[in-house]
Amino acid sequence: MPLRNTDDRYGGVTKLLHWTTVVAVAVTVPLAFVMQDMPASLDKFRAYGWHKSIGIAILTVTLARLAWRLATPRPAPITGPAWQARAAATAHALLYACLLALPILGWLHSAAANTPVAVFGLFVLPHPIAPDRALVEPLGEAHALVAWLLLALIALHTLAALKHHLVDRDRTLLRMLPLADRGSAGPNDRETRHDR
Amino acid sequence: MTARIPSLGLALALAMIPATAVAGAPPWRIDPAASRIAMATTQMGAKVGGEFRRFEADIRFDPDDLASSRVTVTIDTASLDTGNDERDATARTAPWFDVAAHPVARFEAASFRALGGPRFEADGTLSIKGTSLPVVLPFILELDGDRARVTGDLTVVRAAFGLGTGEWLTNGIVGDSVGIRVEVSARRDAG
Repeated sequence: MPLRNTDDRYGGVTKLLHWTTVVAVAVTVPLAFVMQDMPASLDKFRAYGWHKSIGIAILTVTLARLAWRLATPRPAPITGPAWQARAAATAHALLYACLLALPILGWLHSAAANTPVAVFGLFVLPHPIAPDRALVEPLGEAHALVAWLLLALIALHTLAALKHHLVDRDRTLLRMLPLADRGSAGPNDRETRHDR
Repeated sequence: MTARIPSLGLALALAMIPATAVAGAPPWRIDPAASRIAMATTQMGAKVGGEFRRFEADIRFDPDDLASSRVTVTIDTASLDTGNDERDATARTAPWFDVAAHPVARFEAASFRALGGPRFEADGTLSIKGTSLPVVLPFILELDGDRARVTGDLTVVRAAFGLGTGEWLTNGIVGDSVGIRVEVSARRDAG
């Protein structure tokens, strides 16, 4: 598997960044739902610590993805209706926007609430704004709103990928799957070879 | 009759003592807007600070008559403001300040030492949550006419006062030592 993207498939770096984001979101979003209602305890501190650390990791990975996206060409779009290509581009842009906005809003929320963002216990981020009780609730609500938007976009993104795979039977999903480019037997094996 | 004269003399002498003490060390009235009692510790390795918003101070102090000087500061433990409502609510619970049972913390000092220039030290007693421990509070005194500015710093180990019991006791999430900073502006009480 090449590290860089090629004309018809994603490279190792793009896949790693994509699936790292998937795992990080899959951990930190459910954690958010659990930690809010925990009683004040060491575990609550730990849960918030992990949530914030993973969030900052997502921010970092997303910035790296955008940089990598500029540095390496993307595979050509899979042939399909123009409206689908436009919808996909819009959805991808919104996904990136959410993956950037969500940790930044969380960071601002922490600062307003005067609670530290200690990243994996390694270092502490500075407060970008001064503590301010009046901003805690609006920033918390904005953070939650963007989280719901992200979840909706992830649902759309997943359904679209499955639709490409199961209905259109094209390589859209396969070309992002790790180790899936060897063309081993699978439902899309024929189309895969045909595409090549 | 003759026996009464020494008695009267003793009574007068006793009555003079408090009057002398008051005359020796004048009372001071603090300016709440320019005074603060702040604390700082760590949370997840990051510095976290707060202030006790309500406190009272009974101050009789004269740098030239330290023997008759004395200070009592009474702090409303429920008034701790760390800029986070949830954390402040936790600080009021039984494992921490237990404000329902211990609504006030107190610092009392009646022994002072001049360290030269504006520097002084108070040997006092800090009482928090039913535990009284001796503490030394070094402070700087700046006098300007009938106004005074006092700044002092003190570090305590929270566990010594039972602050953060149970699972909070020994861990790296909330720091073991707590810095206390006192900044008091006061005016000599004319009354």
